[in-house]
Amino acid sequence: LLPAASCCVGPPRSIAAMSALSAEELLARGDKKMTTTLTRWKPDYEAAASAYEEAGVKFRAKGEKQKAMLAFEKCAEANGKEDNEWHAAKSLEMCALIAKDCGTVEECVAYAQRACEAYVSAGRAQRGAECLGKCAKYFDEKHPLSAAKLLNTAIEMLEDEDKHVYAAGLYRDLAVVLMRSDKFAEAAETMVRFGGSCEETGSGNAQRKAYLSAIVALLYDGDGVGAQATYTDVCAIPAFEGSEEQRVAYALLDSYRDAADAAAIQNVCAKSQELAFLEAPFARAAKKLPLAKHDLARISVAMGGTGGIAAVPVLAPEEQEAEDDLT
Amino acid sequence: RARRDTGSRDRGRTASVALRGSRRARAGRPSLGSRRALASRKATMSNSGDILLRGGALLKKYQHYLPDEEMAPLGPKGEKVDQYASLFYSLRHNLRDIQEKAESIKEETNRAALATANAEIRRSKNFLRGELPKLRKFAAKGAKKLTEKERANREDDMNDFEYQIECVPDGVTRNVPPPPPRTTVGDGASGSGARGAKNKKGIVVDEAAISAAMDGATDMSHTDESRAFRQEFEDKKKQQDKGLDEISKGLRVLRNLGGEMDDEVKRQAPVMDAIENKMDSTSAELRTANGKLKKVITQMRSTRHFCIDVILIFIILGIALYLYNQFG
Repeated sequence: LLPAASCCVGPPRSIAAMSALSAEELLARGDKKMTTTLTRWKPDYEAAASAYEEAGVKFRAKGEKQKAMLAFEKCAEANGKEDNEWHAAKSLEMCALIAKDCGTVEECVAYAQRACEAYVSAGRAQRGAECLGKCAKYFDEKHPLSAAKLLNTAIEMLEDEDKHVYAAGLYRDLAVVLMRSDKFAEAAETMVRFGGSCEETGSGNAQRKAYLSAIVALLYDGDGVGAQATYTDVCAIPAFEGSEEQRVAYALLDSYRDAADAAAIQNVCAKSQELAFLEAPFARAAKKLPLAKHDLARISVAMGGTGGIAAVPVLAPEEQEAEDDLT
Repeated sequence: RARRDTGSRDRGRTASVALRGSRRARAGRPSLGSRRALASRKATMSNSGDILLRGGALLKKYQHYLPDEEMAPLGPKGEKVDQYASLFYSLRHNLRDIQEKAESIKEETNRAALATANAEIRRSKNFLRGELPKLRKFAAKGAKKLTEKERANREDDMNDFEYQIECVPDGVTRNVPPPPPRTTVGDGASGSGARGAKNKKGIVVDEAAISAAMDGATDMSHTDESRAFRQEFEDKKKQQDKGLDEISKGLRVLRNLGGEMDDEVKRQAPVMDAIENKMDSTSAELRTANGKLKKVITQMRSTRHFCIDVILIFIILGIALYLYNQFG
């Protein structure tokens, strides 16, 4: 009988039942409901929230974004006073969506974080993380650093709850954002983290591709030592061992360490089709390996190699004579 | 689990939590200590979210006791603290974090977690190595006002710090990693051969027939015909190789697709389970609600009440008739 009882309290929440008032009038009505009068000693938050929501929808339909944002924010406040955190969070998410078009990035980030907090206090942390991920996608082109921060928070929330299943998309988005803003070491680290998360969910395919992407990103950054160390760390993991991706990674590292020759490295990249199956930024990076600005001989030596075929040591003339002297 | 930091948040960890606390004040939300708020939350709330919110509230409460490390160049008493000291402080913080992380993974047996931790330590170490030149520059800038001894102390501090950075174990060795396990090419062939032996007849080498054929041959050198045959053989072989390469490429793509589908299905399975559980509980609730509703409606419209209503109406009509007959 509880649903029947609550219907009697205020106007229904469905969007289909729109009143005939205009958006400004609805806003004013909402404001009125939030104040106390002689007849009403406690503000009527529920009615105010639904009035604000309708006002926000109408403003948005008309195109007045600032007022729509204001209306949704007030709706969230009213819901918060009523302890309806879920609805408050939904309104704040709507604010973040509108702020993407007409507000600054800081506003959008602030709304997203408030919405996430509201979801968490409603007991739906996973939904909060999803909301952060969605909002991060709104501005990942223009402000990748803020997007990366939000995505990181979201991933941590899901990891803390052992809900790795829901974090896969977020990891990929974060790695793509980091690669686009040229933070290759951090992108590689994110991919290794993703591999660890895939171990929990048992998705071997994604795990193998993640580790290969990490190695490619580190080589693209010119960090041969890091790439080799990553390979040594992951080569014994059962899902990665014996796979095509491991062979490709080993061939790539071999060519960097022993051949240290741009042509050999490009040959390996062209022959390995697995590199084309990685995420777009990583596949593009693999196609461009090795970068012209990297000192291949130095990288090879740092990795424990000999500086490559081209770096065969040339003996000084005295030493040459001493070698030739057969007495 | 120790909380992770990325490069962009290496310095601002406490700031984000403090900011959340202050934003809460701005939004004018009810304080978290209120019993009503706590009581209204569901029992299945996430632990980390709870801790974060309570932590934010506590930080807000004791905000003026926090050290203002974010507000360089002003020190805790409002004096100007030089950039060298503040940078060194934040870098030391960082180093302590990765040392703790290295300690915590010493006992780790899960290789994937070990790989993740090592990757993070390596990245932090590279970041610190990159910040050291900046530190030295700040030290040189502020060195004019210092005595000789203090300058020497600074040098020692920085060298110690550099040594400590290098000491953190991160799994980097100069050894060549082991090659991947080789699947011998012959395995596939022998495998299929062993299985196919039942269907195929054994290949018999008939020596008598071969020597008879060879005895008739007088000249073993190449003729034009044999050369042409050889050429045709090579051409066909090249064509077949090309075709096989194409097939292999297509198979790789299919394998990739298959792997992705497998991953997706594995990922959706727990989601489906969660949906199923929620549907079960919702339908159980609906069933009880319907049952209650039915009970109430039958109570309102039961036949016993209906008969009593009819009888009472007849009695009232009877009384009305009697009165009408009496007085009318």
